[in-house]
Amino acid sequence: MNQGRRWRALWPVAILVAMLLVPRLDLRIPVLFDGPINSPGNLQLLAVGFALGLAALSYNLLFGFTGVLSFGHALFFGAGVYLPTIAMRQWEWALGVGIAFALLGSLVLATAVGLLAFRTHGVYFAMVTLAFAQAGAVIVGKNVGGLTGGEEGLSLPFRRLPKWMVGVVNTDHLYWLTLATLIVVYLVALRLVTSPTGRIWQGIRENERRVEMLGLRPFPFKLLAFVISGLLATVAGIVYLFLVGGATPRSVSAEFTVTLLLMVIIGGSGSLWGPVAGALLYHYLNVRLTVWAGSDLVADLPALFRQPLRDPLFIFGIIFVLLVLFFPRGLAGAFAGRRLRPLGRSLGGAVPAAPMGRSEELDR
Amino acid sequence: MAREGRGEGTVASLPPDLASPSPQHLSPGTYDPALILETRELSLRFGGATIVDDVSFGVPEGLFVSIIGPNGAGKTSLFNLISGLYRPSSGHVLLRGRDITALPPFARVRQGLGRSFQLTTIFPGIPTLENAHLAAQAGGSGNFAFWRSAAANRAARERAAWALETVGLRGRERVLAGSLAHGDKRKLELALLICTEPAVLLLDEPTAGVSAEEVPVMLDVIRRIRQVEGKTILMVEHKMDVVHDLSDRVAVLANGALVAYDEPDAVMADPFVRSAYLGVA
Repeated sequence: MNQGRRWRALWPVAILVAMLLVPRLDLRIPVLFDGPINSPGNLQLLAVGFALGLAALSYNLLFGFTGVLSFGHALFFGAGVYLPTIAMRQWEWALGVGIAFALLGSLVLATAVGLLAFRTHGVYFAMVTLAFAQAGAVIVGKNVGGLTGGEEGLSLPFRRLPKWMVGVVNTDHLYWLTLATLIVVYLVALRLVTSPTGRIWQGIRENERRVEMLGLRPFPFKLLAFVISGLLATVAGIVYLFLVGGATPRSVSAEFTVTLLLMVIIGGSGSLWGPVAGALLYHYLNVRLTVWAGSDLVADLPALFRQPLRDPLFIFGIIFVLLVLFFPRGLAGAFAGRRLRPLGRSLGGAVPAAPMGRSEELDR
Repeated sequence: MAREGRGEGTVASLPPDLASPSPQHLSPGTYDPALILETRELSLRFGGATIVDDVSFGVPEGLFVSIIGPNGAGKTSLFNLISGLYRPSSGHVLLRGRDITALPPFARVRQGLGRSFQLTTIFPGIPTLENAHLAAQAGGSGNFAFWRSAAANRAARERAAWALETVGLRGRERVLAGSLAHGDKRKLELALLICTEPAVLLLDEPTAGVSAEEVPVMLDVIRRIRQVEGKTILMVEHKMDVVHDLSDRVAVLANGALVAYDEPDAVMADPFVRSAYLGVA
């Protein structure tokens, strides 16, 4: 029993060590990866997965731990992607200053959006955050002031980056940088959710009225969760930017927020590692299914099967439905081995059926 | 919320001491230090309907006061006014002589006004002990210390364990609160309440939905809270027989108005209460 628990505690460490060693492993995993695992392409695939995992983890602090459903998270990820690029390319600032600018900008933006949006609850909150994110997407898409590069996006000025970050041969460095950032943010998130404030967040997720009736005003706690989660999303955006080498409008789109929500649900909301695993799985499937759909195996099938199977989203949709049906608590819930809260309740906490009916309910 | 009409004349026909139960507390500007909680001419109107009708009464410190009345009498609405979930159309709420009418609910809790709900209000997705720990922590300071460990708060941990012990939930610490039996959930809500160390406890039908065998257990828990803590308790209840033995005073609400406020036996003996509410000829 005790022995078993000790082994289970060693699992994350074992996975971590394996992940850190990947760039030095000349290993071939035939069906899962093309070529050796440490090829630049495979490292890039994993590293982008880590960066998205970081973003999903930050989103989960808000959605999974505080019970707040925001549709504006892409705004803060996008800030991490665009602000350093603009600062370095358009204004010729140094890398460090660009990063500081992005974090500061995100802090101000998240505080402002939070202050306004938290005047509402539930679905209305989601809509207000969506409006802000869409405003950001429009500013980026319309190339306001010629800063963002519009639909084309903006590439990073590589001469402003240190040499070790530039070029395909240095993918392993970026891999380690992303993984290290993920580990640090994971530990920060672990402290947050086990802190007194984290407890209150979970209390708000479970029952905001009860938190209020314990003598606490939920608003500042929700705002803090929103700002911290936004800042961490910006960190994710920055490491993502280094990996893909430029800013594209997709990173500020509402579609990206929905993708984050999917990753969190696949991985298990309210778990710390779940959304990271969910993001890795999502990104892996997204990339690999495209490869698979173009393979000879699919091309030889009758037209009835061939055509839907050629669309990676079709396969992904099926996988997603199966995952939600059989693992309503996501990957984390499946591994925990027992069913905790079903998905419905975690959504229910974020979206009250009728926000106006709260006092009626109490009067019954 | 069906309300049978009761003519204004009925109030006038009440004995004067019942129609205006504690006239000495009604004069504005004066404050009886023996009263910990007081309402003055408290009214709540929605459109044309009067939900709470000019209710003035005081709760002396350390007493157990029950509010009874038929469905729709305005008991819970009165509680919502006292705890701040509703804003009154007119009138005032005083805690230790201080006007708290303008304070939001959380600030009233900070002032010492704890409240339970008719529909159990707990944190279903986290374990029972963590529920109590959260409540004990929330009652103190340092809730924004996001760099610290919550588990390191020993005072909160001890208070949580003590509260669960007091309400009889020992042995259920690790169970998710949402998986507890209904009666145990009600006990947990009481535990959350005493974790914040309120001076006055507002209990809204703590026996609602509890099985007949469990009602005495719940009442024992409430009695224990009172004995151990010596708190002032204001309890809404449906049934007279439940409150008779517990209460020092009983307030009777009908159609939003206070029609009687006295010791239990006196209220039981009151002819108007007997005919209009208890259904005794």
